[in-house]
Amino acid sequence: MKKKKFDIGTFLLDISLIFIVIAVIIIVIIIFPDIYPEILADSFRMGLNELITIIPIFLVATFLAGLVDIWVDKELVVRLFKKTGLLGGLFFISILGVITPGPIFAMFPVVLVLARKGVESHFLIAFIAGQTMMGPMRLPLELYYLGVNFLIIRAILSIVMGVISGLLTLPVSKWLNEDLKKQKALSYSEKEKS
Amino acid sequence: MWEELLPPLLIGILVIVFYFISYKKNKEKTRIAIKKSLRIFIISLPIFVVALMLMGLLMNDHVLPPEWIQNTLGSQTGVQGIFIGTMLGFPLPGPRYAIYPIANALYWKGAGLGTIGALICGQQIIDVPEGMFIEIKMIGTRFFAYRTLTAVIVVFIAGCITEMVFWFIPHGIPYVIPP
Repeated sequence: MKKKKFDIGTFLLDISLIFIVIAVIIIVIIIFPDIYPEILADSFRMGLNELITIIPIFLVATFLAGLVDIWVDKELVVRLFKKTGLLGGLFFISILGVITPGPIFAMFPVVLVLARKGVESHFLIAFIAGQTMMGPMRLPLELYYLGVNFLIIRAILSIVMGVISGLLTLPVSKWLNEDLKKQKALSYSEKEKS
Repeated sequence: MWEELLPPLLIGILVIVFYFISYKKNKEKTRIAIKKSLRIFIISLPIFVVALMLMGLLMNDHVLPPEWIQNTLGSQTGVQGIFIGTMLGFPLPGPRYAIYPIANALYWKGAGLGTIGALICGQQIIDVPEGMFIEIKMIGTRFFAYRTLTAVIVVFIAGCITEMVFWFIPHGIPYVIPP
């Protein structure tokens, strides 16, 4: 197996949330010079207490993500990608997106394969819109922090969002298809060079 | 407390059952799944801790006064709050699971449910900044730009629908903030 090279850029992007926390801390110190130790101590105590409660749930979330990742075959998504009319197709593809696990960048090769198979851009955008909305790792966390009702409504809305995204893309679908074809050609010539 | 923990607890039991079935079906695959899960846990936990620290900071009334949140992101602000939630969600960095404690903190500070829905959907649909760069490189700028445009519209619509749906059904958002 090829060992992944450490990329400082990717690492910094991964931890970018830390910079927001640091920025908030600096702002708190500047605005409340007298009481900032209390504010920070209170906030961190609250965060730490929450961490103790959330660790088992977080563990469940990661174990669910690991299992789904191993058992769900990405090729299956490509095989299931069948269009049945515009609205029916967008609806089915959005559902397929919602139930497809994995990070967004793992979906781009799938999208390129689908584009190569002649799937139009409005279906691809509907798929990505649905896919980004839900995930096995996020499920237990969303349940814990936002409750069952919110989760159900958001799951239904994810499908609706996929369909609307597809419909909004329909007028420019051909224009986007042209760009996708160029992109494919580019990635092939890059491969040949390497 | 137990009421909030019940749904994830049930998922936990289900996950154990799934692992048991997986182990019966294929021992090697299950071993890889466990290794992978532990790896995800070790990599993700520090970022989640940062999100919890941010949640702690946001819950502090000095840092984020509840009146300010209610007047800017509350349900009474109508589409304004949902629009701000949409625009705040897109550039919010970090992994997608990190948004939930922040969303919970904002809700209990007075943000409307439409705003919360738009914030979560906005943060997840584009994956700024990492996914964005990979998408531009692999799929192309035109596709990415149009997807972002449609994303802004659909996230805003989703926020409005969320707000309206919860006029009729109970929100059931748990109060998880420790004392």
